[in-house]
Amino acid sequence: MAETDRIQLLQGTLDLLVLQTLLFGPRHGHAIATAIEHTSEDVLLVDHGSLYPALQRLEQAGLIASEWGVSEKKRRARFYKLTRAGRARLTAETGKWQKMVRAVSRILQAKEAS
Amino acid sequence: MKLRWRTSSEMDEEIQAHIDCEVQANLDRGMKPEDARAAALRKFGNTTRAKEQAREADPLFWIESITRDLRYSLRNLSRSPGFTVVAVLSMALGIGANSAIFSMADGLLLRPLDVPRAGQIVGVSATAPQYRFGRFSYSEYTVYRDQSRTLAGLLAEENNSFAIQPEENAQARYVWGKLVSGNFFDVLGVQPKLGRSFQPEEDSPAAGEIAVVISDECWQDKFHSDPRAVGARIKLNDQPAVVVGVMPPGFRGTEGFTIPEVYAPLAATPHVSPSNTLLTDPKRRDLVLFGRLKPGLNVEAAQAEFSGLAERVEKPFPQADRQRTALVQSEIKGRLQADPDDVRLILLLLAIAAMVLLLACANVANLLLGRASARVKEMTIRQSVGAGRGRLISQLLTESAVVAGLGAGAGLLLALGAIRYFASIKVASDFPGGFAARLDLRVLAYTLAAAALAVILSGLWPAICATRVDLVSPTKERAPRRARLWGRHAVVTVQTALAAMLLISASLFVKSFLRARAANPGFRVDHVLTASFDPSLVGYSEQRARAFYQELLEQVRMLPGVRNATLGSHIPMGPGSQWDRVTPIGIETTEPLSVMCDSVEPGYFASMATDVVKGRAFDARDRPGAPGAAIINQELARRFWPNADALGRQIQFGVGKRAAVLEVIGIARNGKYQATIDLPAPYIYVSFPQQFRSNMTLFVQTADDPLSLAPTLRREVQSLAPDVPVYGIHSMRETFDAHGLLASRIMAQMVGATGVIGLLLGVAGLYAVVAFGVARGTREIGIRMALGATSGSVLRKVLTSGLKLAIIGGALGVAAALALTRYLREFLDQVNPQDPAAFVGVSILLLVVTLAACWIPARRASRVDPAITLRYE
Repeated sequence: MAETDRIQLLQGTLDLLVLQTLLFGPRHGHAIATAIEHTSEDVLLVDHGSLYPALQRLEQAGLIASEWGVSEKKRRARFYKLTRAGRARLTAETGKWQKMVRAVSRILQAKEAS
Repeated sequence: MKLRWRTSSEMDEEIQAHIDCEVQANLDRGMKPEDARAAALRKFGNTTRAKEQAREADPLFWIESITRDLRYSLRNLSRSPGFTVVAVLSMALGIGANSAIFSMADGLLLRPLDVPRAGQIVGVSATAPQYRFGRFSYSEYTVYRDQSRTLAGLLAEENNSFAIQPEENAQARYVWGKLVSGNFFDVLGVQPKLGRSFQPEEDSPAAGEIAVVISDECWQDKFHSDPRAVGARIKLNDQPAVVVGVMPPGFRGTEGFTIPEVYAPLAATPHVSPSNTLLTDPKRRDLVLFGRLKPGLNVEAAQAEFSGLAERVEKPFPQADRQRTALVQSEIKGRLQADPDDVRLILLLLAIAAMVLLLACANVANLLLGRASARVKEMTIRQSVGAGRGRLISQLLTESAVVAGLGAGAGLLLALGAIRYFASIKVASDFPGGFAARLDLRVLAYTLAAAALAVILSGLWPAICATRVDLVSPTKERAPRRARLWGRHAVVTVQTALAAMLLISASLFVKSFLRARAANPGFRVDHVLTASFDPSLVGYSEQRARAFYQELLEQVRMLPGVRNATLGSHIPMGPGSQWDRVTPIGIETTEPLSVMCDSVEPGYFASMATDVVKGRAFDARDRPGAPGAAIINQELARRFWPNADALGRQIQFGVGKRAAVLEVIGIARNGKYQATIDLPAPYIYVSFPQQFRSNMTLFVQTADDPLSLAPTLRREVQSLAPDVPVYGIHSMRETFDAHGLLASRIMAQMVGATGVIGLLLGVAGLYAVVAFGVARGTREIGIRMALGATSGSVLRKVLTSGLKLAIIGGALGVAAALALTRYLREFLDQVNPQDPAAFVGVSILLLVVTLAACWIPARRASRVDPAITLRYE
């Protein structure tokens, strides 16, 4: 079941990145996508199509909230913002993620050294 | 979790906004407008898929998917109206039969009392090793009532008949009601709709006028719905009384079948029936007790308390009462245990209804399997473009649910008709009451459960079969796979078997009913008019009542058109019966037996054509003061003296002070005493001059239509004793039809109806399979005919294929019926449960109907034009 594992991992990552992006204030979907791309210096390419299911999921989980607003280009758009639960989740997940990254890279480096 | 359902238009708008932003960004980067849009769309990917996935993340997504499935199912079903109509009708019959029978069973036995928080009501009965559901004396009642801490209240009641005069000098009317403890209505928690219930002092020895609460029916019938009835001075059994309240319509108290018309306090007992020593005699145990548990307490707590209290009550029979105690049970449990015969009858009917549902499900499953073969192509395409099998199954089940839902709706209409019919059944009785069958939430819930079961039974397997498709082989029209055909054949076989079983039981019950109607029940049915009296209710002494009956007999016998007249205390197969304890003398071990008893005037046996097979009938010798005489029926003789002659033996009749020693002077032929479905029951006749009863029925044997004599009879009584109420003027034929045959008729109607439904459904299934086989096999038939098969041989082949299924199914059904019908023995009167005529008849009927059903598709097959079919392929 490597296939499903990978999807879950990707999904989890996207959720985390979305939460992180919203830390600096409410944004609409397109802004979130471009923010992730820009901040990661275009290393991460966000599949815009999969962004919306992720947003929906996060909203259902109560981690983000949304309302209609007007974008910088004077267009109607749906803005998402972090809820308190989302903030807490972000802190926890960031810690976990960093632990995992350290652990994984240690293993990978050890392998290279041997 | 937050439950929000974003509408799909909102989602569309949001995604559109996103794409517009991207287009703008691209334009800003200097792209050409058309490139900018294309790049934005490319970057976003599949918008539909994104929308779908986003929707699935919504917890309310299932609502949308159900609505979509529903819409799809409705569209699909409306596209094949033939299938839909047959399937919905099958379900309507199957589910409707269940709803109707359940509502009947519910009204008869299962429904909780119609009082607030009925679950708190408990029945209290006296038990000892000799008996289980005994009654209590008044002194026992007061101990339990005053000392119980687990019950919020304990009521006592005793059935009683009353003569009620709504006004001074009005003709007294005979009604049935109850003597009840003063707290009766408070314990049940139902208050009168007009006036009030009893005050504490009204059920005390200090009470003045008798306070009376009447039923709504009594208020309408005897007081013409006059609101001034409350407070009206009336006479109850010739005693001054006042109406204090009118109960709401349909209030039955603790009764299930009849509606008591009058409630009077127990304290009034000595006034309304001077000979009744209930209040003072601790040996007189006539009270039925019901209590209401205090909130939060259970039956076990009450039982523990009552077992303790039982030690403190008076024990007037030291020997027999040593182990007498009180049994506390929930009211419904007590009711079910007290009526094991009714429970068995209801279980039988529910089982038969379940078989009809099963048959209907088999029919629909069969049709669905046929549709599944026709939809192979659709299912293959849908699965190959990525539809999940689970989704497809749930969508097919939605289709079954729509069918079952429509069927349940139509079934409820059918059930409503049946319920109207049940409720309209008049019981030959002058008292209001009847089957409390109705369409209520309980019936709806049962219907819903039946429909849900039907969805699974009829839909699941076909859905699994339909979605089991082969994605590899090309999607083309082809003959159904062998396995699927095998499945349909199995379903049809089961259907035919069920139909055979239903038909056999139906014919047994109908035959039993016809036999019972035609048979001699052991008494004269035709040309007999009955009329009942109870002079003690209007204050007649025994002496005066004897004189009244003597004179009445003499006068009536002289009327023109009257052949003979006699008196008895029990109307054979009429409502009500009397029981007395009878003990054989000279047999040590035999316990007293509770036996139905009839006090008859000497001319009874000749006049009513009841045979005395041994010994003699009563005559002038059996007068008061002479040695006591009794005539027992063959069954009682067999019970007491299985291996010896009962004639000349002595028995003790009754217990306690009223006990008498009687000599058996005759043996009467066994008859039916309560209903035609009765098993032989012990019965004893005593001589009216020796065993006086105040409540007697006059049996008039007439030359012509007995009912035409009714006005003359009324006039005669009026002139003889204007104050004595006459009631129950019926012909014996009416009573016999309406009461004696009631159970037999209802059984015959219900089981007969299910038999017809079974035949229809079974044949429909067979027809569908054979017709389907012909339609699918057209190419094969075409080839055969092109190769020289005659239309006759094709006809034969199709007919045999259908007959083969019918014979296998029929044989299975007959075998199952042979094994099962012996459980019907107790419900069948004078019919062998394995009656060869019924079995053979049903088999022939099935064959004939099968042949007819197969004939249509067979003929179509034989007319296949090979040229056309082969070209079509």
